[in-house]
Amino acid sequence: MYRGDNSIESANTPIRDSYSDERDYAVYRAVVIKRKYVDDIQNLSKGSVNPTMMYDVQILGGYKEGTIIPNCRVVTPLGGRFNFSETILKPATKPLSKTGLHKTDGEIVYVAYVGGDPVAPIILGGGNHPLDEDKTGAKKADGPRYRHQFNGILTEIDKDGKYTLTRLGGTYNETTGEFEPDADGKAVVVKYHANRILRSVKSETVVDVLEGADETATRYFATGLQVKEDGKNDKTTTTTKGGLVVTTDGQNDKWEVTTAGGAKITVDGKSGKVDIDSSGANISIDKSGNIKLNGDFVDLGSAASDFVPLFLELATAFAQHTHSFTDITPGGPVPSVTGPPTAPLLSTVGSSSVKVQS
Amino acid sequence: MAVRNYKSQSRVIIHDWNLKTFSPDESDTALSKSTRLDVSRHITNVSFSKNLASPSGTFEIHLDNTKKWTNVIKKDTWCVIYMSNSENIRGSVDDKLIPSSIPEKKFVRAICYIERVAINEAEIDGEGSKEVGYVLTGRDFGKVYEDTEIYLNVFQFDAMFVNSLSGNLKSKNIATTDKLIELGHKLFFSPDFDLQPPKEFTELSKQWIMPSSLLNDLQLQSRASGGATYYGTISNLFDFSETNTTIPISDPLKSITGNAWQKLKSWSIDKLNELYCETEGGEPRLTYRAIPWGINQKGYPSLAQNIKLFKTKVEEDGIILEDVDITSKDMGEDSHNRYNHFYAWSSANMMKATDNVGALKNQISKQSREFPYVNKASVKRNGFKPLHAELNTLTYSIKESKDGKPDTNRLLEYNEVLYDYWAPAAYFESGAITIIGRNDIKIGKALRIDSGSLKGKAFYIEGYTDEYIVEEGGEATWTQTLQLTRGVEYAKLKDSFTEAELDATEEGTDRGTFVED
Repeated sequence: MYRGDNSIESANTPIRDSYSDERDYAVYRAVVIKRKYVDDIQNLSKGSVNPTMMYDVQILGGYKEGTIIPNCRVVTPLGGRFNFSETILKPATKPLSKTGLHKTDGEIVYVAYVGGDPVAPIILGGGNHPLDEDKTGAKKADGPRYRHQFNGILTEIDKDGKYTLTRLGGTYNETTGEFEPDADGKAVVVKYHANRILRSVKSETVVDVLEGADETATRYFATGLQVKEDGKNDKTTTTTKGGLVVTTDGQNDKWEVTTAGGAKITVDGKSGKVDIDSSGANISIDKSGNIKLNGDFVDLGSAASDFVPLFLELATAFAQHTHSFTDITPGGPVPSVTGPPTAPLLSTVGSSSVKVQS
Repeated sequence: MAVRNYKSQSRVIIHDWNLKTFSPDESDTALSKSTRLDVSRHITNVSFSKNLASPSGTFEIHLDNTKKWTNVIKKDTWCVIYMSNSENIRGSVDDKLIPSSIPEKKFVRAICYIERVAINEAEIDGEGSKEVGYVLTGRDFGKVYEDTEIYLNVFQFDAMFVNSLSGNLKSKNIATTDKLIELGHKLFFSPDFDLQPPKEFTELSKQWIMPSSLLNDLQLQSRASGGATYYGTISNLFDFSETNTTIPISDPLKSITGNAWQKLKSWSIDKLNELYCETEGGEPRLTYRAIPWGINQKGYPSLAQNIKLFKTKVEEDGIILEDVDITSKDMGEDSHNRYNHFYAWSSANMMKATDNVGALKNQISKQSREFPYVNKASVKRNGFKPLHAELNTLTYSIKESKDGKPDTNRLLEYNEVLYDYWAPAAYFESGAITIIGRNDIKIGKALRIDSGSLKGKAFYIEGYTDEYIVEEGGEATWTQTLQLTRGVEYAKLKDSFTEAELDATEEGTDRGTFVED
């Protein structure tokens, strides 16, 4: 090639812009057809300091339709060395020539070459999949929202700022190398609303509700068990399916258990009283330490068989009781009766603290 | 004083298709049938230009106005241009344009494809007289590469065929670019492609059927048995030498949609290798080889085996010219090719993090030259002149050591090759000379001048223009203007040299003393 001074620039000059350099600056829509893990021998980065996932993609549409671009890397979100993100893409399970583009299950991506160099293809991002069944595509009523799903974990932020994390459920298939979602889905749901968090597991067998306004946390079980924690009132209440209710009231320093059958135990720290009530009977301990057993019958001991004597009655009876005897003075034996005891029954014989009802 | 006698002659034979119109399913036999039309007697001017930078050369054939040539000759026909300054190539030709003799192949200058037939009229005086002539223009057979589009839609073809393309690279142990280009060429141009492609693809690769009369004149054989000859099936089409460079991208045969020449060139690693079209012995050739400019190969011992020394090139097939053969010269050193910072890197850097300057610097302790190399004195004197080359080659993925680390030594040697080619280039001459036309002048050849002001100099032919002019009275002249590079004193080409030695005059390193009159 002649220069202006009649010297010749060699056609072999390396720095001359060569039209033969194949540079392609286009961005292509493609489908992932092959996935190469870092320990895959076909992965070109295998053995390097920073091995990375690589994919083969196939261009959809346009003049280069069908062209396979091998060894694509994926751009990652910003984060540098210590903050990172990795999403493994799903390849088509069947050749596209046999499936039809509209039915492929491979991930749709957009691909370009770094510097237009065919050596360095990169996946810039994903595209709507023809089979996504309207999972994306917000309507006006939906407003500005965010949805993301991977391996059955669905993350949503709605227009009101309510965050919902749903685990749709599923398992990893060793044979296919793919995650398969459960048919019935919704194993775990976590919802973060304005002042409320709701967390539930599959089929809502267990549901946690945290209410910010009430400062309460309530756990509901599908079986009927319910546990409520009331932070504002410093109180917890556990209610079983059967109706047993256990209440711990920190504010009132009280603990209470009420059975479905009606029996009740109350421990009242404020009044210093403990009450056990059942079927009309009551055992109570008051602030002074007095214990009352209030019931039609009181058995003390495992084989109670006799009644407890009443001291006052006993003292009165004692004081009045006489003994019959036979007087054997001359003139013949004569039946006689003693006089009552001259000494009363000592009070020490009776308890000074335990009283019983007649 | 030496004297040369020469008699310039030129013949142009057009190979006119017999079938002017055809159906879409026309047979190969009918399509290829052609008849010779010899227009040699009607030539007023023939010019043909070719250079290394383009796969195709261009031509112009001017014909007199004895016939209405636009009715006789149509575009999209092949023709062959013959020239001679020494031997008689004219046969007996009658007015029916059917020659009685076929020129020998050694006189072939170009195998061409007519793209335009035009009438030229120009007023020659102010009184309305006009000079009428006809001109045929077009390109030589390199047009096949420039104009071929490849279309492979893997959605349409069986997945097994597509996978077999890349599998074929591995099964045939194809790792180097010469093997890849040959395989790709067969895929693009040869219906007899041995991978047995599906019928739909085979039909698309049947391009550039050759006219039967041209094949006959040039005695071109087909590689395929039976059927018509297509350009891609011509025997001995490849003039390939083994190269050291490895395949530039992964699975290249799965991504071939686009222009054929651009695809082949993109695989060629053109900073280190040459790919060009030229005739040889009257036959079309596609040549691919390492650039034969080796001078001091000590810096790249493993690559040297496939890189020819320029000295050897001159000795083996250098064309020898005497000063009497040269009618004009414009030759000199220039500063355009001065480089003082050498840095070659591989695009595979994007694939493996360990391919970086830092890693290579640790290895260069074994080398005599640092990497990248900078001639600081030259920078101070002449400014920073970088030769930075990106080598699009996946060396590291193909040739890996046992510990999985890349062969970085290969990149160092590539850098040494570029240094060897371009460090002394500031001292080489380039320019043009005009000579009496010769048929052995071809691009990619070396030239040695044994007398006159350029005595002892060797050059590399990068381009030429043939001019054949018929003067008034019928005398004709054929001259060639050659574009030459790498002009160096041949005797200075030895196994080792210094830049100072290259710059020395015949009298030695001393430049001589200028004494004022």
